[in-house]
Amino acid sequence: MTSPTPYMPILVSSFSSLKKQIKVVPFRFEGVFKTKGKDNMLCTKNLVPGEALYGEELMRVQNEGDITEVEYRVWNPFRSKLSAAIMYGVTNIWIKPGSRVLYLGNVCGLTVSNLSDLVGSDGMVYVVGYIDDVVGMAGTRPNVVTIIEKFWNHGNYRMLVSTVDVIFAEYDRHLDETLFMVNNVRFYLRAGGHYMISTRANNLNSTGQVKDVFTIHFQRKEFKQIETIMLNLMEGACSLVVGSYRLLDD
Amino acid sequence: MSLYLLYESASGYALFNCHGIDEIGQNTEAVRNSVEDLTRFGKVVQLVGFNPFDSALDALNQINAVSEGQMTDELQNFLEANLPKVKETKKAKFSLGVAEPKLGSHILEVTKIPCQSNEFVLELLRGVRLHIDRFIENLKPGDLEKAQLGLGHSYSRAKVKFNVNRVDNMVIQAIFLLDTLDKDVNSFSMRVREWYSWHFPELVKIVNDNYLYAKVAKYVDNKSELSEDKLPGLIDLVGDEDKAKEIVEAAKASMGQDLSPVDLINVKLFAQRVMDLAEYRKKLYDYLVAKMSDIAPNLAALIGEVVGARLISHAGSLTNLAKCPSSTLQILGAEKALFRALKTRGNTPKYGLIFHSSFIGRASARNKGRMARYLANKCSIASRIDCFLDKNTTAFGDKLREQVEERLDFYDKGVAPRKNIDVMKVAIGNVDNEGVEVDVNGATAKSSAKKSKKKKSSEMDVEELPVEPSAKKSKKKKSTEMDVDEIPTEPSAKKSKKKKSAEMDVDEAPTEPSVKKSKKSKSKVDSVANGEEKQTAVTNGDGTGKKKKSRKSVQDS
Repeated sequence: MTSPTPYMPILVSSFSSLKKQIKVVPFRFEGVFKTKGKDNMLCTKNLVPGEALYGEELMRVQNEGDITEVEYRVWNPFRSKLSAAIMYGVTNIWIKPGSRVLYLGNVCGLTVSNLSDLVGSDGMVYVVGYIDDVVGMAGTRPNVVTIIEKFWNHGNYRMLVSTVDVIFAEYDRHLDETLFMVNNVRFYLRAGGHYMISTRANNLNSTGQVKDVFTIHFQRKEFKQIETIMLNLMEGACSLVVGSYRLLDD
Repeated sequence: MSLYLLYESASGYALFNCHGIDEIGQNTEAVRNSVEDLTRFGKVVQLVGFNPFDSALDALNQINAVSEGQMTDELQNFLEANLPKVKETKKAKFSLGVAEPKLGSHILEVTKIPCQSNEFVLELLRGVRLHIDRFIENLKPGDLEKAQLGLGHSYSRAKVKFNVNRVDNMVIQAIFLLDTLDKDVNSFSMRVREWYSWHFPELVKIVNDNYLYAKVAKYVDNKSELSEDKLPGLIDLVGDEDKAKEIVEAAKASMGQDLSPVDLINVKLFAQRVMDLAEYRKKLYDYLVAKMSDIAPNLAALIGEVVGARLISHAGSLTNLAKCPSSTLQILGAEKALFRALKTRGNTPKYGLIFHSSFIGRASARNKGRMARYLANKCSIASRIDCFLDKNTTAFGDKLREQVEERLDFYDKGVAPRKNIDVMKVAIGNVDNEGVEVDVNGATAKSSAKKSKKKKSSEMDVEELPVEPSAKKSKKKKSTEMDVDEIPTEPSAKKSKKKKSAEMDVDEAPTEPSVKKSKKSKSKVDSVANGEEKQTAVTNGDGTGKKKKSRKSVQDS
């Protein structure tokens, strides 16, 4: 556990968890916090205080030495695969405050909102998907750029996306989409950046290991699989594959 | 040969020149290594020109063009201004690197600038993308992100096709206002009656209608001045000569007290107010009708504007109404009774808001529930069509209405109604006849084929004789063959109240009748004009369709 930072919150006075003595401490990665107390819930610092997007719990915590309150949003591991991966012990998510993330795939706004909290106001989240709800959510968050496009038309939105540090993709469909994913990576992911793909576990091959589609299909040198995590929290097993792209040999 | 690079960003177009590519050569590996470092990259690639977009609208146009691979005039001007001139006959000594080959070919076509878009160019562009904010001095940090935000938002908005005319919120507000207005007009009218009755009590009993009362009150004014010469005017107002005479008589023998002129003026003013409100209510009703025909024409054709609007407002929006199952639609508005019955394990209500449509009233007591269920099913279909179909047409609503009428007849007299599939075919034909091109989705054609629960699947095939398996049970004499080459006859010419002949136009319609993205489309008309066709067990020229055979019709689009 990291040593307490100067602004580590100590007291709780939240709307919903008034009587409980809950501490919120940083958890493993920068920007991610965990509540300590009766329940251990993963949370992120809310970028837009007061707004709960899908009915999740907001916790307000008092700053040490300060009367100001900080609000955190609970990150549900049952609904967001990234959160599940963090709880399952992924080594590194490579996303921290100030980084830029490109989010592709089945968009439903949940993970996106927490990503936007994570990267903070310095970072950017580019969301490419075909869901209208996200457009509404992006109205209040100044670090989310929504692009209503299919992610395999990677050229169409090249005017809207800068080079990103991490590409996070969530798609359930057939592995043939990897080609399109790869194009996205080649256009937008910086060298030394990382990608995280979460797919259904029926992408496992017979030995039970998840195929990292990139290393198998394309340019092994460039795409390097770092780890895979099996997520059993959700209905139907999912897996998260973490890899790096053009990692400079140091 | 020098290489230029075109980079499109959210703030504008940028053009770069690459020297030193001879040093690097065309080896992408080497390029990659030099890209990372800005100083090294900066030596290779230098900014030639930057053209910021004039306005948000301009930027939106540019991105739309770019995403389609088209070059706009602004881009053309920018390129021609910054690149060396291309002489007509000579081959250009430079080439322009672009991200997408489609755009490149368009640029080549129009301006004769040769473009390339290969691995090498992509690598260079990656470098540009990485270092873009340092290349362009005017861009402060954060400017580019803001531009991306704004542009992304408007681009997405445009994609979602925000159509102002089809906003269902207007209808919801209008129906609320209509209800409120009714209540208010009623209470004001009561007030007028009471107030004026102080002066002329008998009038209340003679004139029953609120609006008319206000008019008469305003006209009569002081009853002592009411005389025979005002009679014609009164007759015009009331419409009935006897009534007018009665009023005059009653005025003479009235026991109401006199009112001072000031009081009378006030009563008149108030009566005027009531009349204005009543007139406004009428206008609002017309507005509601117009709006309903804009946003939900089929629903309005099926159950009427007011009931339709009430359903929409109760569900919250048209999409909510389309999303809910038809059983929900059936009891929308009777939630209190529903949950009470569920709790106490009694009988759940059979109808909610739907009850107010005319069909339920016309059904006999025994069949009210059945009609309600049937009507709710059809309303569901109509609302889904309205929600997801881009075109504005009432063809389906009318046909659905006919179906409901037929069902009513069936309950009354036992007359068998037409098959749904045939009615829907006619409806689609009508839609096409309106000159409207109906939206087609090949996938839905396939999926609706798979979902066809009816065993007969009829298809429309352009090349050969499409055959419709005849419904033996149908007492109507449908012509079962639709000859593609000639004008097909309308399958059920009888009950269709519209005299439009459902011409299935060979070239267009059969290829795209599969209309809506509605999830439970009961219309099985799919059509794909392919050479393929699987005969649904019916041979050419033979009208007898064996219903149980070949349920699958595989359509490949």
